Amino acid sequence: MLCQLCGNHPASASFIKIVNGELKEFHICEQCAKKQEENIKGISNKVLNEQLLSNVLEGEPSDSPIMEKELVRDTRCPKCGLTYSQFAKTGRAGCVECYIQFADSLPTLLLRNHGTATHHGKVPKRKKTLIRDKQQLERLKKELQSLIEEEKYEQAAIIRDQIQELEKRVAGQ
Amino acid sequence: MTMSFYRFIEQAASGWMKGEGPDSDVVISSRIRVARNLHEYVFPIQANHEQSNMALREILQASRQLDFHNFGEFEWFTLRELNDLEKHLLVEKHLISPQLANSSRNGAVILSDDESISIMVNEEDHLRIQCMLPGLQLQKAWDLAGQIDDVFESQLDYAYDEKIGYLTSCSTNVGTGLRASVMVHLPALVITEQINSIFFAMNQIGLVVRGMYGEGSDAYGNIFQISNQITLGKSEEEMIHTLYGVVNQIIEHERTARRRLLTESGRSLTNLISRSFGILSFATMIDSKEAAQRLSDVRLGIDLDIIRGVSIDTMNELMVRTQPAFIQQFAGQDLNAEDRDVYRAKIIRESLAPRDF
Ligand SMILES: [Zn+2]
Ligand SMILES: [Zn+2]
Repeated sequence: MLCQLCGNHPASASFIKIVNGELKEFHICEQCAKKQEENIKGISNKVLNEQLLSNVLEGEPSDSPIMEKELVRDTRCPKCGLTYSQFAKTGRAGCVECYIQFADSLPTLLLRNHGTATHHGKVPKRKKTLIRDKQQLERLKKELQSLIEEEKYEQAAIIRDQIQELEKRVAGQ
Repeated sequence: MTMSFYRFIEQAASGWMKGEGPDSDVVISSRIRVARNLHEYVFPIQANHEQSNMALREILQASRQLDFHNFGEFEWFTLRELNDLEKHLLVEKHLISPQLANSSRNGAVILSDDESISIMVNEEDHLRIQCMLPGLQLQKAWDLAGQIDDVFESQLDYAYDEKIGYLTSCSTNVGTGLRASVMVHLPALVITEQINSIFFAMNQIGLVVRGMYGEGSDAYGNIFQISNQITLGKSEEEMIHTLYGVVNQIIEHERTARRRLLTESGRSLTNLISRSFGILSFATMIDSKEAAQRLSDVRLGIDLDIIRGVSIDTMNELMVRTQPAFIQQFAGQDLNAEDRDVYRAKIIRESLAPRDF
């Protein structure tokens, strides 16, 4: 397929644009992709993505001048192939990796659906010890930091050993 | 198809439905569903044949663990080995979802012998564990679902995030993956026109109400399903507790409305119920909407002791047996809409006929 912007080079990237509040996918070449990215310099993808997401989910016609003119690179989950625009449109992830790839837009999405973005329910038994260990590790590292600042090196050495022990355990899990 | 499968479609009423649960004059059943996914595999909707097949194998392997015997005997079936009619019979019994029946890849269902536990594989999520009990028994259903979840968890590597909980295909289920729901019969609240304001209030606090038959204002048969919408931010117990509290209030409202109807317009209520019983007992054709409405009247009549000699079990069974796939199975042939109305009336007539043996 040829680039939908210049029509000269093979398309290698995919971009999405909001046209009258509707998501449209464009396939464009590397050169045009670079140009488009320069156009949106100063505005991070993250900000654009969040705007895009809220526009899509609310179904509002896009009145933001940025959204009318600019294009956003449509990222793709490396594990399952789902694109960001598909994820934003449907609110559905294709795999665990999607939740990592599209993490920036998750809080907005979860807040909209649930009014919160933090889980307070069940924790799988096997993961419980791991989570506890990780939290303990955090605490110990902070403690180590302050002990070093206070130049209490003997105590610091003890904490450091504990940290190493815990890190081994966490890696083993 | 194995012989054992027929057991699940022969009877319209599941084993668990027989025997009364708490508050069964208003609450027909309670259901808990939890959604789980395996960390390693692409979620079912996005998965290709091989990926969904791997997930299926791993889950079936895990389900053969000895621990499952604590919950009864289980049988599993892949959707591919079932024909369309068989699938729809399972849908009408609420043992599987229309989505699993119609559009799953490598879908399967694992059923307990009394059908109180139904585990869907490769529906929207890798695992959907569902427990159903008669009457209002949300906590008990959650205990059961939680234990089954624990057994799977000891065998499978779940998709779970420390911050946002269980990862599900749809972000609306993220967190607990929990859907707690109760099926309620609210004829008096419908007759007294209080139902809409009650539903509106429930929506305000994050509960969803759906008509069992028909959608929205077109709901008929006075049977509704109330469930939680939000799955994140609270513990499972809190979510269940909230639903339980609301349902208890609705039960009280419905009972009050029934008492009031009986004292203020007892004669016409008795007339309405008796007429419906008469029509169901003698009609030779009846469409699904009228059948649902009249069955609701008779159910109310049984609860108010206006109608005797017919059991709630019969009503529960008819609720399922008057659905299209069950009618087709009863007739043993493909039916057009008119044929269906004839067979529906016949099924109801035969169920309600007084038996003297
Ligand atoms: Zn180009
Ligand atoms: Zn993915």
